[in-house]
Amino acid sequence: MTLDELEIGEKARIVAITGEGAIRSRIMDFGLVPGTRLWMIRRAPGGGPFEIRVRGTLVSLRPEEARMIEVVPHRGGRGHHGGHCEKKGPKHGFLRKWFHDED
Amino acid sequence: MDEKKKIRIALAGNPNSGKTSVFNELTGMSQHVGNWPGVTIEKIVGKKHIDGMELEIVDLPGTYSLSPYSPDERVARDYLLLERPDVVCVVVDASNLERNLYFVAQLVELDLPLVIALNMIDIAKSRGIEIDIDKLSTLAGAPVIPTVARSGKGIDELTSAIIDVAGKPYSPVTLNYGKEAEGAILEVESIISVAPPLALRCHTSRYLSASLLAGDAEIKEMILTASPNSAEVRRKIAKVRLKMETRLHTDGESVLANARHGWASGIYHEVVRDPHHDEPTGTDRIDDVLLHRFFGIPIFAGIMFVIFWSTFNIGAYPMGWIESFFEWLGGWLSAAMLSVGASETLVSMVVDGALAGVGGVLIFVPNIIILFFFVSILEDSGYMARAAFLMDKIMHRMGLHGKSFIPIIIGFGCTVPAVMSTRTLENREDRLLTILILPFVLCSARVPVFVLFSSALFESNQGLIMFSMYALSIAISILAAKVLKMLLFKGLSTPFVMELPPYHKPAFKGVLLHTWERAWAFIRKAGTVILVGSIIIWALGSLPPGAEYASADSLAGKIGRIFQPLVKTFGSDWKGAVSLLFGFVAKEIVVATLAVLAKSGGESNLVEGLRQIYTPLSAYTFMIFTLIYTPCIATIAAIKKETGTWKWAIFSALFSTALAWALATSVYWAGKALGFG
Repeated sequence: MTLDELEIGEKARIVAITGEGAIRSRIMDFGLVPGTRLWMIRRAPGGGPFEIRVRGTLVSLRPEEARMIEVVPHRGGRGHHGGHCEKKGPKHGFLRKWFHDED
Repeated sequence: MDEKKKIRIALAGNPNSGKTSVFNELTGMSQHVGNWPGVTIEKIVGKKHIDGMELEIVDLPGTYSLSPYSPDERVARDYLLLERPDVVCVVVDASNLERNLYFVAQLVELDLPLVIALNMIDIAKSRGIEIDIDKLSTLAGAPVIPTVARSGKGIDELTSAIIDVAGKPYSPVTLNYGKEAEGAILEVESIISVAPPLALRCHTSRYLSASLLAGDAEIKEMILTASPNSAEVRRKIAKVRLKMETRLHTDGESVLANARHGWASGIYHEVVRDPHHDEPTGTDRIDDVLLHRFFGIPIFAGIMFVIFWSTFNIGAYPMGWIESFFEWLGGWLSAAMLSVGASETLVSMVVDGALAGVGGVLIFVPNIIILFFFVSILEDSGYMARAAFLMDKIMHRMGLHGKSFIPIIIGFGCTVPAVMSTRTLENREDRLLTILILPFVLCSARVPVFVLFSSALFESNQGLIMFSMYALSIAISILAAKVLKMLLFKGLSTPFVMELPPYHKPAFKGVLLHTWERAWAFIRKAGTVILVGSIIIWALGSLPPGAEYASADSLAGKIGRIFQPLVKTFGSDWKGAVSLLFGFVAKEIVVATLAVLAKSGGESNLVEGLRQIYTPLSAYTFMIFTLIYTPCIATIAAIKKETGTWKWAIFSALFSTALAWALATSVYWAGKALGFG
């Protein structure tokens, strides 16, 4: 799975960085290299960028950049057994879309 | 006579590491701001004299890496690699050591004498982080000086460490890339030894070889140019690289990045004891509120409102004082000049031309000071990155960056500080694009023009007409962003990987210094470009001698007649053309000029005069033209300053005027066809 698919609050380990060029290089400069552990902190309201904690720093990335980062959820964290996680927030109506906009 | 020893020092570091504070403390106020050759990145050089030695400190752009992908990083790397400073002083954030050490790893590879300023040590301590400084120094192969640059602590020790390192032979540590990569590096080193002058100049054939294995296009170009048989060198390097990548099942760039992060992480875990690592910090708790999914955006809107309100409402008082001061100065000066026998024309040039022009622009200084005071606080506290985080989605849809939002909001007040505030955008392309759309954001100087016309010709629909101007301004800005992105920066995707730095209490001194720099830059501009522009406009209005100011007989009037065919296409006449021409100095002047040309004393006559010249349709198209056409002189000067070339300033003027003409003309003829006007 990729970084953008992590639940809020979930921890994961990076297995690969896809893509190329400046964006890939920039991602790696922030310490996002294979083997690194990260923690999904939050997402901007309305389906904007993600905020993660990695190597003691808070880093934000756009969904398209998050999709370049392949991760496995951390053992003991939520969601690693493939079960569906309950999302917080409204389940129906436009507010739900506003919350969980998958972009 | 006595030979002064000069030490060339490069100051490097991550953004948010407090590098600017260290620089300010090291050099005091003796700074010289120039440009790096070939690029529009500011090069700040400071000097310090101590014990008969001259320290020349070059402040490198704050970067996360020395990869060749951004102009900032290229500037920093080229300087270190090719100019070989005597000492590199790297500023690292003690409370964020692991990520900062990755940057140190890259400097270690460059094989230059290094001093590490372990900055913000107070914040690290307050968080319970313990750092074994001696061990860090041994492992990184460089002296480590703890500093608190905001309060000047540790700066003297840092200075002596730099001088000490400069006088000693340097024994660097070597960063190990792993067996496979080390073998490949040795092979490449022997291949590129055919380019001896370059390797000799850089002293670092190991660094060059590693970069070549990572596919660094810039270094490759340098090596191939310096090699006598470039085709063969290229082929050999490619072969070694392919072999290494095949064996390691990954690309060369990852190998390097992994090794550097491994080095950084290894040292970090050796020297740092952080009992609260991975626990939520104060920053997390503040973010839980400021980035809250419901309250985050309303809080941001509230902060923006307060800033905006203070800037333009509190700023109104000093603006009034400056205005009265210039009025008084004008009166006093003309009396004084006339009493010593100066001619009427000369007095008019100085008072109505130069003084009125410069004064009309200097009244914005209070706005700029208040605005940049707040902007500096936002930036220094760490909130600016949060604002970008919140706003990125909507801005990205427009082809812009989250950090473009604040300049655009400022642009509704005045385009000049808006253009100046684009400096928070790190990426050149994002910055340029934001600068180019800012003139389309309806600034407060254009409001009087719209108020006048809507009250004169759209009595019953005033509000609607005003609203339509704001709506049009936003639509044009979005459209221009899309079109310019397509035309100028096609296919360019700029990364948004952005640090959300820990919150800090803003350093008062730094905030004031920053605010003053901006205000002073603006004042200097008023004294140069704007002064000249104002005198030219005055000359056009007053010459030939005897002509009434801006009348049909003046040069401006004649030029207005020349332009009449052009403005006629959207229903205006030469008076409109002259007003627009004068509006180039400042948009409010459009109203003042129309008032003169409508030959009227009071406001009611002006309205009558306008009704005789304009129909509702041609008034509306005149408003559209005023909204979009060339930014004022002050904005043009700001664009020149911020982009570093006249090219973009002139482009902005021509592009917007062409767009204004096309839109005003099409609306006019469409309106005619539909039976309006």
